[in-house]
Amino acid sequence: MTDASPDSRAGLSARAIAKNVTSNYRELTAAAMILGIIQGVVLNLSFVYASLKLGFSIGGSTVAAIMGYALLRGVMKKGTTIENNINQTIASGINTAGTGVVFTFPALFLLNAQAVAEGREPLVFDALPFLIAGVGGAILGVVVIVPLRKQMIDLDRLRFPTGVATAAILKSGKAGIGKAKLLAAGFAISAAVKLVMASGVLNGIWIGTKAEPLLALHGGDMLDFNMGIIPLYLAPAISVSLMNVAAGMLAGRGGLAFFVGGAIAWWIISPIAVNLGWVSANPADGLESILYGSMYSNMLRPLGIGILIGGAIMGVIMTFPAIKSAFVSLANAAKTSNSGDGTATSDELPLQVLVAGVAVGMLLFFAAAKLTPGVSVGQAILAAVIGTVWLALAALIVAQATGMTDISPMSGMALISVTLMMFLLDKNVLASMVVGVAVCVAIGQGADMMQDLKTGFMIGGKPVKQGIAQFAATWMGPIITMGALYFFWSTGPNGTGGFGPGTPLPAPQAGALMGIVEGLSTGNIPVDKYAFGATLGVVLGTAPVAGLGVLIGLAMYLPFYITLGYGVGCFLQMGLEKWKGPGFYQARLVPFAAGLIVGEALTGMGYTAFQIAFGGGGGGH
Amino acid sequence: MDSKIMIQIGRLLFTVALLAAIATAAPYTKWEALTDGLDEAKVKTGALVDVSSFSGDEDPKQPAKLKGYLTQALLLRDIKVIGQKDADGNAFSGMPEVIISGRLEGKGNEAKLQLTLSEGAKVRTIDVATDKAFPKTANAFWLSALLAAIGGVLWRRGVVKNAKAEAEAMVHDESGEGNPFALLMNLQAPLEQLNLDFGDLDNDSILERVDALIEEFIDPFTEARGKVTETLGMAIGAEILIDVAFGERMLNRVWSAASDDCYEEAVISLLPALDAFKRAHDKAEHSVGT
Repeated sequence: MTDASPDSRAGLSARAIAKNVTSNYRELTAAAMILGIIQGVVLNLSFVYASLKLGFSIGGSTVAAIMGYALLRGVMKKGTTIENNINQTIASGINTAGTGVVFTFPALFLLNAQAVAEGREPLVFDALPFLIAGVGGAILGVVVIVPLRKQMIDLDRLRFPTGVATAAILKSGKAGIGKAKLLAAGFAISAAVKLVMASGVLNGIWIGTKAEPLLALHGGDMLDFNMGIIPLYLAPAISVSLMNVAAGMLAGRGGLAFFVGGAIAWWIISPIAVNLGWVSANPADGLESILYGSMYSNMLRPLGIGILIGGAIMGVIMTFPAIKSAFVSLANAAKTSNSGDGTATSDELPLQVLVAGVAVGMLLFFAAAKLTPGVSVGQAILAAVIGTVWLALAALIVAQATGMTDISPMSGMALISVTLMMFLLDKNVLASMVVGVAVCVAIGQGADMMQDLKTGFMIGGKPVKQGIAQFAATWMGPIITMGALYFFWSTGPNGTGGFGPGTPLPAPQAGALMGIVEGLSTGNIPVDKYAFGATLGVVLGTAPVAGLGVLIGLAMYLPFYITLGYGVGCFLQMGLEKWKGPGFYQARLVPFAAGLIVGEALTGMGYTAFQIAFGGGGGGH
Repeated sequence: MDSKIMIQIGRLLFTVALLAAIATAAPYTKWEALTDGLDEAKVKTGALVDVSSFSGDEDPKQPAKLKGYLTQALLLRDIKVIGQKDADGNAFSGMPEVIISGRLEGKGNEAKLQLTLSEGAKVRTIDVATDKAFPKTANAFWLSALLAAIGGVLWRRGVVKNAKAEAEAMVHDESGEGNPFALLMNLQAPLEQLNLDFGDLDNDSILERVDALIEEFIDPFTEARGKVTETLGMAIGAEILIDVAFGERMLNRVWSAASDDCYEEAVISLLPALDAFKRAHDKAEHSVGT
């Protein structure tokens, strides 16, 4: 019997009813997968272009969730909340896999073009190893992070602000009119602020005198509040980004260490360094040159990267019993996956699948390295093994950082990857970039998978189905992106040079990576900062405060005006909760903050699309 | 030692030593190479000088500033520092227009920094050999880091000791706010009531009941979850937290199914949630010996 009509079930308990019903609740369906793939391809192509032009990408989860809501539920009339979650899991997976490629691979085009321009030996490269590395990275990124789901989501309860925002969208129809209004209010406010900031109408505006303004807005969304009295080396600036503040609001007290890390960097180290003459901080140079100058690039950023690594390693050590428990649980999943017994292990991806995934990923990694000119079998094995170990650690770091703050330190991890491989592979640029591509794709995938799993947790999705969905489609991301990159490159004069400095698509991230590769070739590596930072990360891990190393490392890695905005969000949440009581967070703050995140993300994306289409930014393409 | 004193001493040592470690980690990589002494370069403005050929004493008037600029020149490699002036635009006393531009040549032990200097500029020997990678503050850093680690361990042990001391009282406190064991125990009755009432509930009522359970018991439990592992240890604590998380996920599935008008899935998903919370409660009771 499958009847559960109100009359037949009246007076019965859930246990009694459940014996006589079956469910066909839609989750992993063909409709969700097809829609997810279509959205993922469109988002991937759009964001390749945006990344080459602007130097940053935007996650597609919220867009895919809203479109899924409209198409699966609105048009098909049979979509469910968890089915829409599968759609957004696939779409964001394909999109994010492309991000890892677009931040790294174009650097090779630029390095080759520069070598040719300077009359040096060209850096000839074949796409195949990079394609294989990208696909291998996409697979590895998923399989290395899935075993940590219980650690990050069940135990550490990392916030994953965008994951929470996506869940809020998926649930918005039935979450109650009060929450829906808060979500809409947050969206409207954030969208309006983003629109004003992105349009640039306020850029350069000041209060006070023009020569010495009390407040001034510059750099897009950076509010300088030096008031004419605060030294610029104390970084008196804050990001006017409500998404940033909202991420802090969702983290609350748990994210406070992030703000503390930034305060240590800019309110303690910076004055010491300036006053001892280690660096100069001439006010005439302006705030932006001080924020991004020697202090940041030679001291705080490499130290932050080191702390991130040490903190993540220590986090694994300190929570080893829990991680072991998670692995035991996965091993049990293999035995119970077909039993449908409804226990905590029956809906996990079986350990055998993950082990097989690691093996396939490493094999692809090896093949990619071996196909690169100048790489021996031994070096290819080394690249595959060390690369996979580093990739797993980097994915863990990025997933933790994203979970705690919504900010991904992908470029820092790319830098370490290329540094490590240049060292291991005798400064072979191509082989190092092969690994760099794989690692960047993998860490993006890891963070995205974990964010999607957080969304899934909040709406009751099954991790195994999300894992299958991600596996089934994510490999497409690197292929689509590389095709798009070759196309954009061919649109330049004489069929080359379609992006890079001096073109409408300056590819800033690739340009930065190219500079790093050149620096590494001359032996310019801040070894001491990495070593000291890693030690500090380990030391921070001894304190009984979860994630301290990762948060402080990330804060040093980022410009302070972003950290400060996040800190304001943390303090706001703490103040409001103290004033309004503990229930206020879930009932009011979460939907409002989710609205702020979604509002800025969608408006930013819409504005970028508008600018590219009508603003003359895409000239020549 | 009393756990609260351990926490206070550990936290203080950790904080102070950590700040010292961060401060001593900050100096530039090649700092040591810049502190051996400065020489007077008797060269004409704009001349290219291999500074490795000079030796002598540091300029007593502006040593720190000069070190800083040289450091930047070294680290930024091809930096062009167009003179060094104070905030008023005046050249530094005794060091008119120090460095005009800098360029690194060679690699590793062969590396030399070439600077284009003005007449009367103070420079010093710069050795950028790779064995000078760590700053002079390295020893102070390692010591501070060690002390901070000792402080951190002391702080952590104090917290664990304190948690164990409070465990007994916490487990038997049925109404204590922020007590995860009490919340887990108090959750059982309303969960069972939801099971019993389920046949009479429509989908909207299910949403309300699930929301209420999450808001009243599960969210506060999540906030206080750290006390579970502090009290019972990471291995057992993690098992309980994983059971609770599974129960919560299944309750969320009940909510989603009800919101999608799929009553059958809501019923089916409720059972593993009930079992998971019961299992977590039983483990907690068993672990503390009640």
